[in-house]
Amino acid sequence: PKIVIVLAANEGGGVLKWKGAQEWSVERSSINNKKYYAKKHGYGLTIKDMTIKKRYSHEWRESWEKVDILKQTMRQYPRTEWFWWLDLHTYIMEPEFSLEDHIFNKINEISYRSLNNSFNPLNLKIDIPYINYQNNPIEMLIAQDCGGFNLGSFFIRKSKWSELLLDIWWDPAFYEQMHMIWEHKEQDSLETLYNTQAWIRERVAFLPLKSINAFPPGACSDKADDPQFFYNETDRDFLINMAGCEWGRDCWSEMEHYKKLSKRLNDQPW
Amino acid sequence: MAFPQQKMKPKSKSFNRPFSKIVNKKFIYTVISVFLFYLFFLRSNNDNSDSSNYNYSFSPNNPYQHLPKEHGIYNDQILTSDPLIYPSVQYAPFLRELTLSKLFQSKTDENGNLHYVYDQDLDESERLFSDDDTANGNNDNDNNDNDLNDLNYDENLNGLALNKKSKSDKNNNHDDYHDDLNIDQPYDDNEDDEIHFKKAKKSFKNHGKIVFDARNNKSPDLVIVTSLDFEKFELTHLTKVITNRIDYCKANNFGFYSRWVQEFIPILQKHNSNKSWVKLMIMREAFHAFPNSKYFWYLDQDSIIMRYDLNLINYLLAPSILNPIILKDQPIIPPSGAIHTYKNIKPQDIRFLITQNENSIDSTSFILINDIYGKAILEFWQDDLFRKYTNFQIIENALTHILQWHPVLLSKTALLPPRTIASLHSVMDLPKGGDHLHYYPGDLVVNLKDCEARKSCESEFESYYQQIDKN
Repeated sequence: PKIVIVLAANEGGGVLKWKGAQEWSVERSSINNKKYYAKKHGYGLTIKDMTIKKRYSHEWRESWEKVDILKQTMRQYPRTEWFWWLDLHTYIMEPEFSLEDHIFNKINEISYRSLNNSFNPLNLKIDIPYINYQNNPIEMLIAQDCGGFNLGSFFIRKSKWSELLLDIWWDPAFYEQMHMIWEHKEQDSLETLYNTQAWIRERVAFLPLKSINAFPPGACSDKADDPQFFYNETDRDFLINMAGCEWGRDCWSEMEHYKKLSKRLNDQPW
Repeated sequence: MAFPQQKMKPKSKSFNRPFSKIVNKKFIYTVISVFLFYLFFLRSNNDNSDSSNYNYSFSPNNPYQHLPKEHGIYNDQILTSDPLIYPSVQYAPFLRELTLSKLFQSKTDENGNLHYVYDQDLDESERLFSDDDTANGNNDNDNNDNDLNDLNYDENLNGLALNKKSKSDKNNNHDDYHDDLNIDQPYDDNEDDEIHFKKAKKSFKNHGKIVFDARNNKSPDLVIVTSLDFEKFELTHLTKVITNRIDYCKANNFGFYSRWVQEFIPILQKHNSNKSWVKLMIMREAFHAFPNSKYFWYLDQDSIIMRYDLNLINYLLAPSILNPIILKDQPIIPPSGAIHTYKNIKPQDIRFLITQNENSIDSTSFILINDIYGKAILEFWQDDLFRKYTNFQIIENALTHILQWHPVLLSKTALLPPRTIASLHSVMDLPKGGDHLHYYPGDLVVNLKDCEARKSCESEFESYYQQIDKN
């Protein structure tokens, strides 16, 4: 298939705590949602096990599983062009939208590459030497939330560039110096690399958060009055990412709520 | 009472009969097909409507963004059709006398430390001098159309790189070039030193902006890159280094790219990096200056090219020649490091060639290809986080670290026997034909590694330089 959805599941794998009935239910809902969507549009779907492993423990490679899993998935699907990573607590609200129509066929209109005069919550350097946007294709699409890059839902293209990126993304010397500062691990690492290395920056483009990664009211709570981050049913936002629901909110009830909402919005009257 | 259902049956039968007259098979089929048709039609309508009308009301900026053009460390560029780009060395004594404090403006950082900064990084209000120095530095000229005449500032002094590009004669006249470098040429006594200093400073600030005009000229296949240090060497020596490179390049139709080490001081100061990091920065600038050239050969100023007749591409880089020479399955850290270069590396996959001496990788002389792999290697290797890391003050340590932890980069790297591009100078007697490491007459390059410690860089260079067959 040309596009493969990579869904992270079995978060924690029951290693540090039991998975309760609600966690199983949330997982089932998320998986079924992606299965339905993939089947409908002819995309591939691969469900990856995120059981906590020793090699990803704190002080070592905490949370870099995404990078390793993407490497492995790209080897697993050698002819696939785009890979769409999704965290578990996401729900595709509008399964009618195909990725081609929603994103790829109008990628130049809806994405932005330079941070000049653009949303730049991290205040990254706007201009560094050697960036050449004109001769380099877009090979990674991510969104920024109120605090920086959000890798809960992003697209990456199989290419020499992405192979290199996945190879250098984790480096022990970088990790040793920065892992206490990098709260969000591989996400923050990417922000640092984006800030200093032009060859990485020139193939990354940003999408508005709402287009692929809308938040529920509980996330980004300090920016609750800024509508650009939040799911809105009149706008018929494509996907909701219940980011951080496992800390302090209720994943199961949020999932049930959005499941029902999606059904209601997409139900035919007859 | 015996058969209550029999009484029922006729009733149901009588009920069914009129109904079954209406609802026969045909009717049911048509109803179902109409229903399905309706479903299908409505569904496909739905598909088309919403996604194309999706409202990106919160898109943060205009679509079809204006994307900035690529630039190097300097925001401005000056185009030249001359593939030999190097600083005007006759200013070296003036630059040395001026010292960095006069060549750069300074700024105090949060910790109260004084740092040198590039003029382009200062606001209008922070500029202390009025800048006739930055000829095109602080205005909004179109990057690629800088008026060359602005910098064509001096016939008397025969300012090198800049004047050369204004010459319409592109025949690389050997004699012209030597005249230019003839330091015995008397300076015009009518000009004071004041003017020399001004011109030296102007050249220093603008030389780095020069890039080869690859759109309108044929790019060289290979570019030699060397950084020069005016704080370390006098004019006579610097002239020899440049002449050596240029003679080789002219004999083989290669390009040459050279900068002062001092131009990179503001970047080095960020993390107190030592000067050896400059070689990575100047290589990346070279990639930018020659965007269509494929091979880039970094050769330290303490190395001499001894054979003008050996075209590096034919002599080494052609895949059929390279294949038997590269060291496969060789430990990155000799003699017994755990990580080795790949056994089955193919020459077409190689993007980075470097040598080793007895104990470690040696970055005196290395070759990179100007593509995404070459750029990634350079930009990653010189990343702030490696420069900051205490163990990596020696840049070879950073490189061996990279090659051990990043298999994709390792797969593009080849180790070369040292006598291909970095034969080591030695005073010992060598067996006939030489050993695997030291310079033997006939080798391409002599590497005067550690001549600084021996305090004999100039004399060693001179003695080898005399031995070159310059025909």
